Amino acid sequence: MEARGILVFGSLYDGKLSKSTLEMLGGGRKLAETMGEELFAGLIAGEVSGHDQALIFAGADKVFFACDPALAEYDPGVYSQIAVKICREVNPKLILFAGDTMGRDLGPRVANRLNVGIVTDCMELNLDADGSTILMTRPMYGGKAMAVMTCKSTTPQMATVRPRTMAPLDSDQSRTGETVAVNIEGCSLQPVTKVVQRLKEECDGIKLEDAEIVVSGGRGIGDAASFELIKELAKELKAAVGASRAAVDSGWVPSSWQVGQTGKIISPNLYIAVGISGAMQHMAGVSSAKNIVAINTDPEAPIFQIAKLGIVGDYRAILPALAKQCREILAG
Amino acid sequence: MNIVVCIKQIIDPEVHPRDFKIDSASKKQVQGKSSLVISPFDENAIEMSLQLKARTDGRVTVLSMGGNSASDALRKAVAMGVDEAQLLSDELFSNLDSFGTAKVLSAAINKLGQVDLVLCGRQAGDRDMGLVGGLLAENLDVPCVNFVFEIAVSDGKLNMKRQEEDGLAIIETPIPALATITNDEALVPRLAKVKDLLKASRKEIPVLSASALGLSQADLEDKTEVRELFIPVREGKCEIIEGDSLDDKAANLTRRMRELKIL
Repeated sequence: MEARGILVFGSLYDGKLSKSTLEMLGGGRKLAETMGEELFAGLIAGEVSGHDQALIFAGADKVFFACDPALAEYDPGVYSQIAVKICREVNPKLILFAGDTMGRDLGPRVANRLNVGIVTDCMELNLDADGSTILMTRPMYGGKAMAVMTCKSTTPQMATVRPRTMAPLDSDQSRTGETVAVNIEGCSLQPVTKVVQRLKEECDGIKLEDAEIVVSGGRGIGDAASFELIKELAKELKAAVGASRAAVDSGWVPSSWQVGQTGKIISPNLYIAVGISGAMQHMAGVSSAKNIVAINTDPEAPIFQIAKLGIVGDYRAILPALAKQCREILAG
Repeated sequence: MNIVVCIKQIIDPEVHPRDFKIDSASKKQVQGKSSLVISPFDENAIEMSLQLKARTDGRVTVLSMGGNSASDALRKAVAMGVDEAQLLSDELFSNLDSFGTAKVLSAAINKLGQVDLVLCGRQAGDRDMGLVGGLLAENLDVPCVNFVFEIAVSDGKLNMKRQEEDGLAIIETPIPALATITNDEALVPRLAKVKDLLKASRKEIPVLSASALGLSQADLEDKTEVRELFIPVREGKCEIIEGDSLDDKAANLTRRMRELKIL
């Protein structure tokens, strides 16, 4: 049987299709049309509960569903085995996994078992002039460079997609498509790992992901105590507080504050970067921020090539003044 | 507990973008004046192994695949406190992708005898693929937990804290297992003492070649390829706010943010 179509592996978050799944279906739909191929969705879950319809409304032509109460929680061994089964049954040209906790774990395992390559963290997927190779564009060297990569095997080619890089389609309830129940008889459903507990982040103030305004500090802050100045400005602006990896690695702030390629990906209206040089691996976390304001002592810091407004100077003097200004203005 | 840490030596990722150069023919970064360092997440993994070693009376072996210079990275790990180090080096190992790298590492780990826990950084600080840990777990047929920042050992099982999208999960695994380590304020790598660095500089680092690991070219075929590598162009159009004093600048910034309806 000749390989056909693109297969998007969905993931659930809080009982709904994850944002990343909808984004992959949006990006996958466009690529499928260029290739003249169908778009398939695969999902492994505890129960169907309308996810199959949601996948079709979001752009899939056909859904392959492996469903069993024992599959409610992700287990790498169990899921890999079933995902491989779905991939073999669909026999697609391209398989996409989300760049989330599950996808970044499951994708490589499935690739290994199918004995094919996989390219991670892709921001763009294009069809090569040869009509079959997918050109996968992804950052390298912390985002200082971009690479166009390919899988050496032609079927299937595999990629994980970076969150917030592809646009989801509007859910179209008039779309119809078939749901195929994947036969999981003979698959072991006995997990090797066990989720003992899941803790949502505790946050005294505003959640980073939800905040309209984020004030963030980096290496230039110099010590843990000086983050108080960041917090004070954030309080005046009703903003969340973020940090660069350098600040976390210096032990000044908890890793849950980290924004960037390996931290949180956020899209506030205003991002105030204080003492942050603007390394691409950090900026990857705020690439969809609408406005960036930079405060830095180094006029050559790359952050000034990205920011809309900037002040060159010492934040220790600027932040308290800024906090006072904001308090007066926002009070009326 | 026997712990293995896999580390990679890379060009210092802290290089200023102004000095960051690539060679478009080999599709790699040019080292220039930058020094070679242990990939940052791998240093977090070393730190994790040393904390576990102290708690469990364990033994830590560190492995690195690379050229001769990678022995410096291994010596640094020894100075930090790991017990043994092995360099996996062979002409056949140069330019391997993640799949080939995982093959080499699993061959080396399989020769070590009993291993209870394998630690890798979540992704290398140069190519950022984040594949080696998962592929290595597949090769070794052990469970793998990604983005781990805390590990507790109890009753012959491991409890690993995994960083997730908006919180954390505690995952229980049997032993042996593999974890890929992410950075955390509790995993800031310790600094090696000068006397330990001196001592480590005299340590004999065994080198294992492809044949010693029972590997041939056929085992190490690449599955991915870099077609093109380029530095994206950034457009600088930042409006620098001026003022007579820093107070003045702050006032002007606030006013400008109001004008642009940012605030």
